[in-house]
Amino acid sequence: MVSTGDVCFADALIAMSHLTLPIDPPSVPSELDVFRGLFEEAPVAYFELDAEGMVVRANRAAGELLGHEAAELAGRSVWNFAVPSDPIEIRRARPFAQECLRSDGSTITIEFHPKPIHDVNGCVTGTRLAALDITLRQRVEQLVRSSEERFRRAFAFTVVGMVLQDLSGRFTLVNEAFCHMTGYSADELIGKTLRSIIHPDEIADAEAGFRRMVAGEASSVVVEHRFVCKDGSVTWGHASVCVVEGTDEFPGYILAVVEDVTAAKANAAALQQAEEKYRSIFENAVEGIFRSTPQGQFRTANPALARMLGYDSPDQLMGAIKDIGMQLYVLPELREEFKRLHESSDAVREFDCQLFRRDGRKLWVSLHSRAIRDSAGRIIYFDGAAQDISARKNAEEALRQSEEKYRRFFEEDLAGNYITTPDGRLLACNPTFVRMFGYASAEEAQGTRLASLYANPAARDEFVELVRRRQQLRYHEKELRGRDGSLMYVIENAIGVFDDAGELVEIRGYILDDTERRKKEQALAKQAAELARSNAELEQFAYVASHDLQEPLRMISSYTQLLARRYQGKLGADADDFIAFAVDGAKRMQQLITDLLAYSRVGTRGREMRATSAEATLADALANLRTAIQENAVVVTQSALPEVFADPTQLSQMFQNLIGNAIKFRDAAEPRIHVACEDGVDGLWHFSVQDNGVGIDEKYSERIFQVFQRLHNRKEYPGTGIGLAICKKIAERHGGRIWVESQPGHGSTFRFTILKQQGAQQ
Amino acid sequence: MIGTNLKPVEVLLVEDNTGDVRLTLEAMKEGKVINNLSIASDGVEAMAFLRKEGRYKDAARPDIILLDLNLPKKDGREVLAEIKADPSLRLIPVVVLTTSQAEEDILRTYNLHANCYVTKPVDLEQFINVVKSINDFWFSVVKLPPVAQNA
Repeated sequence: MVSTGDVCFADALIAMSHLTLPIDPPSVPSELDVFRGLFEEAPVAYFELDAEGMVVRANRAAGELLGHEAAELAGRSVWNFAVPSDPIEIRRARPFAQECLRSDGSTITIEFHPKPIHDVNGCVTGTRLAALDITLRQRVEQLVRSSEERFRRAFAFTVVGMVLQDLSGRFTLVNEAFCHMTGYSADELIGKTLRSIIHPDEIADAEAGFRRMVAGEASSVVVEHRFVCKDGSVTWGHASVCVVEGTDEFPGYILAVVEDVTAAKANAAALQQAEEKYRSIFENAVEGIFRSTPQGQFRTANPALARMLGYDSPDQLMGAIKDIGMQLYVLPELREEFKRLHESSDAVREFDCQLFRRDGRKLWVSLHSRAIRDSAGRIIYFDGAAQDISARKNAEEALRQSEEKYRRFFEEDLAGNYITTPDGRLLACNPTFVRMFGYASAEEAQGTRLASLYANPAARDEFVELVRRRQQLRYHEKELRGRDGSLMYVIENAIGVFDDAGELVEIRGYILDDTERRKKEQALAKQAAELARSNAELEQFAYVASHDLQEPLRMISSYTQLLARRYQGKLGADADDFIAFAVDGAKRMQQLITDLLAYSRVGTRGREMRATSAEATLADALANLRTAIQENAVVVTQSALPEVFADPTQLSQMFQNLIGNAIKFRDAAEPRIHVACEDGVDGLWHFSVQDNGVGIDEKYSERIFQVFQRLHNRKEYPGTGIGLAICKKIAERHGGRIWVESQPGHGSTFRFTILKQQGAQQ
Repeated sequence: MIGTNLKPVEVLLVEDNTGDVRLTLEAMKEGKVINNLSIASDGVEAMAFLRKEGRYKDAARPDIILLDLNLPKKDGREVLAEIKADPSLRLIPVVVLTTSQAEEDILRTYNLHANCYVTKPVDLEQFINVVKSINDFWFSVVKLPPVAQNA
């Protein structure tokens, strides 16, 4: 830094003066005179001292230096001017600086370059001093030193790495921070190039940048490079590099200020990574993510939210929704609730609400969000996520409905439903159960043991055992007792619930109270039995009555006849008439009794049903009626008749009564009767007895089958009117019925049916 | 035919109904049937008569018994059973004469070895004919077992 040029020049002059120093100048300008002139006029101050340090000679410049005439200086000690005026060892040959006092009182710093003067013997006879005013230089040097010191300090102690490179790229100076940054010592770095520490990947770039600066294309650059540290680790350096241009004298250099940004870089990378991660999450999340304002607008929304709400993109969603509460919420007041919740707590979780989709459909979402507040604590945003829980809600709803449905089934069931443990603790029961057994409440019912419902507690054990064995029971009938002890008939379906080990753990029962029905059934059965007994009694009565009536009737009849036989014509005409009426009445009564007896005997004295040839029974009937048929020239025809299951006597009686009737009520000159039978699809044989007789008015078609109902007086057609009643009874006994199809004057068709299959007999 | 054996036929009528007893007598009269008719009005009396007990010790052994089924004290079926169970009596023909037309009555009496079952007709003419027929049948047509001399 310190220019040494002046000193060199002085030295040369001094050397020259020494060589040519003639004390006495020659008369003619000699070579010595020339040098002397040069000495005198030399711009450099010179003093020649004797051995004691007294000035022998000084040149003009020397005088000017001290503010004196050069001649005035001779004979004076040069140190008189020194400040402080300490004697200076000048025998040394080294230059030294000395502050001196000039004649005007100012001080001046003079650099003295001493040179001993020897005599021919080599003894020192004096000293020549070249003196330079270095006051200015020294001041500059001081300034420079001070600046350099500051620079050095800064260079040395700054935390920022600093590097100086020469223009060939070699490091000439590195500071502690840079060493620390790279792990190398200064010695290891000095003389090396960027190549030694720049990451291989970036060497080309770094060198290109360096070249550009050297070439003057850029005076400064800011670059970031990775440095490979001594231990192999990588450090990011942010470098501001400038070129300090050189002069002819000073070569240029490169100054780089390098900041270790590894941490920042890492932070930035992490930040970027995190940002990317969150961006990715935001973009790809299944949940809708949003930032909304309390005023009801979206600031941000992710694709999932848009999709969820039926929009093509977040932008479309954000553009469309100006008021979240009014536009999106099915119940706008819920949005207010959402806001209120955030007032009290920053984070709100699982806020379930229904939103409208773009297409108007409803969507269940669950919101998780937190409030973002400004410095004044006012909420400025809600940041949150929305989860589509429609499926869950729908499932919950379906479950709820299903549960409700089955709960209603359970509760409204006509059956008393209950769940019990095998040991008889009642776990649950429905209202019907409670009512059925007369409990005040389900709680009361559940406080009891099921065994208490059994008249015989052992029956409960048997029931449990049965469930255990069969796993389920259907239409299990049993007798229980209500809470008041009343007997109940119930029908129960029961299902056993078994654990993995096959142990019965639960019984589920469905009880129908059958008491009423059973009581009715019993009453009905009793009634039916009563009726049957009453009917039997009645028939027995009719039988016995008609039987026992025979006896006195026979007396009346016989004796009136005896009277007639013995006294006819002897007691007068009136007596004859009276006797005749008595005889007739007795005969009619006899007939009535006989018929009544026959009628009652259809039920009471019927024979067993058996396979019977209808042909044969018809033949029997026709044989019995042979006389009447012949006398009246009746033509009886028939189709083939089947074998049937019947009481043959009664079937024959049936034919006989119907054919007898047909003969009795004949009309045409050629009475015809046709007997037929058809195989009915209704499981019955359909018999018919058709005639061409007088026919019957339809209005009598029911009455003629009743006991003792007659349509004609006895003079026209004798008879008691019991024949068709007997037929009706016979048909009914055979599981069939009888009816007539007829019109007066067009003949009659009596039809009767009997059951094909056996088992219809009473 | 009747004249071949001038000894009148001994007939025991077991009948509680006096109307029927009289009617039978009248029928015999009308039918010109000459018989000795003894009357027992119930089953107990009938058996006493047959076994010649008490006041019946001189009773004649009947050639034929006309037996009504419905009798007081001991009914006709029992009387019939006792007669047929008694070796000394079972050879006497028994005609069951009754108002019943019930088949089981008919079947039962034949099972008890009744010799004949006749329903009492309501018609007087028929009744007279029945009585005559019985007489003719049993004393003219049928060969009866010989009567034990000691009887």
